[in-house]
Amino acid sequence: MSRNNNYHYLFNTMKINYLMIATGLLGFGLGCFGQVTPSAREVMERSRDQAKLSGLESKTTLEIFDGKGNKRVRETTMASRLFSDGTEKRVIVFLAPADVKGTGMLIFDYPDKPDDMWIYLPTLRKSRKIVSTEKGKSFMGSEFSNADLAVGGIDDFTYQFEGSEVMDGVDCWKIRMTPANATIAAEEGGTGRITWVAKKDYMPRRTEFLDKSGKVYKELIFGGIKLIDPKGGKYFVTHMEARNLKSGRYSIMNMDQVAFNPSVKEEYLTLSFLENQ
Amino acid sequence: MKTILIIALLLLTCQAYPQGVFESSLSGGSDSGNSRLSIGGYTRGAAFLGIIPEQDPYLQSLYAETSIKMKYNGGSWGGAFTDIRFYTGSEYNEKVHKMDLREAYADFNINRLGLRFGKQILSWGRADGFNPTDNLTPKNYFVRSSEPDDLKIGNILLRAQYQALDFLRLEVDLVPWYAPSLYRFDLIEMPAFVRINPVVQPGFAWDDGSIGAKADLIFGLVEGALSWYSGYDHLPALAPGAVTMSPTEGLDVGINQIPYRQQVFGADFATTLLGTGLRGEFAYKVPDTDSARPFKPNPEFQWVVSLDRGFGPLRLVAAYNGKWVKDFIPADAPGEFDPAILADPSIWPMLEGMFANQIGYYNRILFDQTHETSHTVLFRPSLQLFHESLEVEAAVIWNITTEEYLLYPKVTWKHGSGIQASMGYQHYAGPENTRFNWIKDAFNGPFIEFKASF
Repeated sequence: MSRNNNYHYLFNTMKINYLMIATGLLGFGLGCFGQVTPSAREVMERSRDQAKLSGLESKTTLEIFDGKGNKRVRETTMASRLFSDGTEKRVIVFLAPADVKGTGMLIFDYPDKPDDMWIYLPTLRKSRKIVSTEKGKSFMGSEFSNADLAVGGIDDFTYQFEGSEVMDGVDCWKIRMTPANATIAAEEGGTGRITWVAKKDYMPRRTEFLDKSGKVYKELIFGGIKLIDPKGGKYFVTHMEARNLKSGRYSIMNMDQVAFNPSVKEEYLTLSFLENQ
Repeated sequence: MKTILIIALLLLTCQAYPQGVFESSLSGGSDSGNSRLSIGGYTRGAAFLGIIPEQDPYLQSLYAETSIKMKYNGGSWGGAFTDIRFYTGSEYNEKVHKMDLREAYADFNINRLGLRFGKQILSWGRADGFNPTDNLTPKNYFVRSSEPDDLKIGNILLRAQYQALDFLRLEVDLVPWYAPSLYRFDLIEMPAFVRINPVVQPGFAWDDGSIGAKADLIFGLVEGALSWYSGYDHLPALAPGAVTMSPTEGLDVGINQIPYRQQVFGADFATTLLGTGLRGEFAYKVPDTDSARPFKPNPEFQWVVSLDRGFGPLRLVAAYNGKWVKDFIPADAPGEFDPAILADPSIWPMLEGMFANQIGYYNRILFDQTHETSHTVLFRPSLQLFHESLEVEAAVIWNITTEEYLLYPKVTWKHGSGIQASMGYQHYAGPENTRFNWIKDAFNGPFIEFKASF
């Protein structure tokens, strides 16, 4: 009798981690800086360093369009909390479609070592410790890749100012990101990215991905930026689009509900909760 | 049915408490968070065709099934879950209409202690493919479904989990009643004079219950568990029943299914290494000494090591399962009985011993103890295509020692709205006197399944 398991859920759903990391990363910026213009690396570094909220709850919808008018929808909910040692713990649960409902993930994002990550599959009835890699893979079949949505190491790229431009009515720094080594270049699959970061809030507005010939083949567009933590000067991206300019496919991610909550219950951030939710 | 509807209506009338975005979303409530009850499930239709050499194909199984799952989220204090399945169709040329309360349990939480009481399914063990420490609840080894989870059967039990430390979780499970795993001996080719009797149910005395205990240790780099189980193996052993020999009515040989108790000492672990998931599981099973139940397996040690890794859209799972049987005494498979000899009344006095020998060997097959040491491998590559809407997979299980194998290719198309269609083929094979040879005629063939989840 066959006792093999369904691992396709595992493969699909492990990637939700990156989405939430990214929404965390991209959602935070500095309210303002002094008049001294930072370097390109400092701009990216400051955005990255500010990329963690003390606590957050959200509900997200991901719409995947195939360019032929067909649409697929996935929904998730997430709770995260930043602890005093710098560890951010997140729990993510799939809400839709119905065939993956109840699938959950628990991520411990450490400041100084690789993440710990578990996935709970209702069909297996137990959580599994999984590998947190595969950066280049499509996120849930969308145009977002795992790497698009991951924080990534600041040293993965070198950064260079390419001037200032107004993007969607906002004054931005235009920064070229070049892979720092062959490994990162291979993961990127191209020659790098150009990103526009708003001067007023250090939030990204757009990122273009360059293929090996230097042409733009994909773009990420960020919108719905809201001040979520007025005291801490934290902003949050509530709308993201990923557009594949070659295939015409695109995906839209909306944070339907977001709540800044530094007091997210610790019990949510445990394997017991993941397995019994 | 009326009772179920009343319960559902009562659950629907439950009033809400203030909830955050996360909790409200989990409750399945509206944006205003005004419901703590969520209802889901699926409906599916499935057809399994039987392929037996030199015979016309036949319908092994054709059915429609609806599962209604209701979940009540009571917040930090607990909740409840029910899975009811309605099934109509045919299985192995028999019409089947049934309602199955597959699971129904309530949770009650007090700080770090979580209690779950009711009919539930437990799954222990971290390895892929083979879980020798998973002994708490029974299985239906002959269910016709493309979903591996459908093998599992619920049982009434109390589960207590205590989060003693951040890295230490303790669990105790009390199983008052024995429930057997389902093994369809009636589908296995046997001599006409052999009759498999129903499972002999143990009583309801305290001594007839089972208990399991587990300590999960969760560290960053590696996690694992130590476990212990004392209770019945859900798969009963075979034992000689009544043998009647009548010149007028011929020979009738009964085989009883008698549960036996065992102790299982287990351990497992999981870690990630160089981008690969590495898991292992170990179990030492010791059947209790009980002269009233002489037919049971020998003590055995089983070990499993598994790997899983992704290569872009391809994922590969590989597992190795080894077993060593203690106090093993070699034995050849008994030959088949010659009907001409059986018709001779002069040998009837010797038959009981011969049948006992035969049944003993059946037990060896049933419990994979025909060899002192055996080795089995599993490979399961799966490929995600067309933006993960199509999955192509193939599972292979090969017992190197007994030369049994299973080939199980499957293709699944998923629409994002919860609609999916699957088709595949199961092919079991093995030499005479092996388990896969026993079941091949009951399983071999293609299947197709349409399923809509809601």
